[in-house]
Amino acid sequence: MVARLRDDMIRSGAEIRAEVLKAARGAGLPLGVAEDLALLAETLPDDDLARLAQMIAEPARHDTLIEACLDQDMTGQNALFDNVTAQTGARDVAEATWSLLSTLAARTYVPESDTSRQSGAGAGDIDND
Amino acid sequence: MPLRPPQEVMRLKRMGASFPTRLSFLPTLLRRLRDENVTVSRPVWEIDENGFGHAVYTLTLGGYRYSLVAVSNDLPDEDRTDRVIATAWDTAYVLYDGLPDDAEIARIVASAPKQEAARFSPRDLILSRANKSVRLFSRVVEALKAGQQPDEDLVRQTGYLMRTTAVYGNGKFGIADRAVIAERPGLSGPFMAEMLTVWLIRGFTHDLVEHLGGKPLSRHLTRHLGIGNATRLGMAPCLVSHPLLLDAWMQVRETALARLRALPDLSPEEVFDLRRLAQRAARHLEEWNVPDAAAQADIELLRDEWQEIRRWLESDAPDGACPLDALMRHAERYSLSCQELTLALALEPFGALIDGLTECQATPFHPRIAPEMPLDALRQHIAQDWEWALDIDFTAPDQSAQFWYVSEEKQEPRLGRRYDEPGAELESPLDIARQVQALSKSLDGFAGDVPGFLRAHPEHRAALRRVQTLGRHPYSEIRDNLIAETCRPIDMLRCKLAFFGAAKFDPKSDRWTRITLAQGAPLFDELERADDWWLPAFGMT
Repeated sequence: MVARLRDDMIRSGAEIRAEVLKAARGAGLPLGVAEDLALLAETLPDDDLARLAQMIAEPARHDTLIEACLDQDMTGQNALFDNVTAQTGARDVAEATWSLLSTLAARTYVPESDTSRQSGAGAGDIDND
Repeated sequence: MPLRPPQEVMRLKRMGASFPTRLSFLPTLLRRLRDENVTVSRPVWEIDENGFGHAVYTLTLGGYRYSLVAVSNDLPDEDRTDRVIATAWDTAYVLYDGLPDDAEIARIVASAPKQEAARFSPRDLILSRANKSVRLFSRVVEALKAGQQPDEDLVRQTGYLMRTTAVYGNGKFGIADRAVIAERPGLSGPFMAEMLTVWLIRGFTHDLVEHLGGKPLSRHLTRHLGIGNATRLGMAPCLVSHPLLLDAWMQVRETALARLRALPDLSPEEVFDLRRLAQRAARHLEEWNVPDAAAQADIELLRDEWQEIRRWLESDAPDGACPLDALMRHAERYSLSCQELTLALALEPFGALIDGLTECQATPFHPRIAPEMPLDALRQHIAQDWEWALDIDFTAPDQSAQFWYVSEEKQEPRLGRRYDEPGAELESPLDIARQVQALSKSLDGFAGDVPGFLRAHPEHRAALRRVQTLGRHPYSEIRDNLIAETCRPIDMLRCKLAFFGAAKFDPKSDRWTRITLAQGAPLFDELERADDWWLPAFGMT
């Protein structure tokens, strides 16, 4: 078993990518920017990921994030996070960071109604054969 | 010989008429297992007399050891459901990276049955669960207990003992990221780990009924029993969110087809093979019956049309020039299903010429913005590739009738009716055609370059990237309006499932289908059969 920091949890690279994508969209960033930030997030060490999450959460920082994406188009690097490791994959994410991202991501979910639960995903209540 | 154009291939209706081919992922995996003389052993069988407990199967592939840990629990009948919001299942599985020790087995036995409610480790490669077929499972056990084989008709009609309702990979719930296995021999192809898991689960279901019944099941019945799967529209957005992958799969298949259409002639053995396979496919079609009336009508039409294809093959037409090209042209007079089935038939005897293409089905790349592209070139791409999207009136109710979204409960992808229910303001960005139309309007009269445009219009970043990507990857986009009244998610599901190698599509609605995987596939001890089980017929040898 992998040792874990207290209150932190290991998140897979795919989970980090997915959560940041939703968080960025939930925070009001354009989809294309969210997509780039999601890919970036997977390469960030924990403190940089925390910083990214805080920037996403703050609308006043969005222009900076957008500009950094434009910059990255030209240079291949994101200037805001220049000690990026090449490593991707699962790692510890601070609970505070994950909580912030999840809260923003939740803004993209549509609350339940009986109608949506029944018909939206296409399967009946009882599906056995 | 040119590839079929994407304008023709990347349409929902044709994608929704897909059939499995030898290039599909499960057949590709099984050929690889055969090539490596893989043997499956079962070092742990802790299943009690009621069929509950756990088991471990293990094998070595490409120098790595993998194990399936299967956990079987007692599930009350009224709790059995295929919905992703279910909370309990008959069986749960982890494909483990290595051979699990007792502590790891105990961990998996405790957590696998909880599925999404538990966290997993990077040693857990795949997470899955399956429910028993209520129609078949206990009938098979009862027959075996009585010293008999189960009713052949029932086995033929059902085709599986259990049905998976999710097969999770790539980092979900803490399991291993795909990167962990992406470079490994044998598992580097798309969904290979998932396919391996399903094939191993199938073997477990066979072992389980034999254990409970106390007798072996006859081989031809066992072969016919694949693994069912209930697929809901949660799988559909994947095709949109992975454009390079979709393009790779399509390019491989269409390249294979083009390569074969260019063959100037066929040997007598090859013609014989085509006729034999067409006959088997006809039997497969006879055995494919579904409750949905519209789908059943399509199958019956296909049976009739397939007789015409067989008639063509039995004539001296295959002796002509470029016979596979002539065959595909002949099929064009029939339904899309017939055309796509003909494609699959054409590929089947020619593994030596096309199997190598499967190495191109995976891609590590992500779409990127090309800032150097002149805006006029971008406009040109839109005019050429997206003309169909520019003409759509998205204010018309039928063109914007649906919206994709993610539910709060279990974060399940769903499809809603925009004008009938709340939530459209949170819609998921699958409205690609509408996004590109909006991009096109903003580009009108804009002077400057791509970076300048994206600075002024960050809201078009995603669409711009998709347009640029399509220019280099012509099969990366579905060329239909995915929010239209007419969009049927099942077309997307069937396309992806056919690439997996699934057959016996059994639609329950326009957004939910059952399928069977690995029906007719080699059992653990007969991988030498890995090359010839496409569209199997019951009892074929």
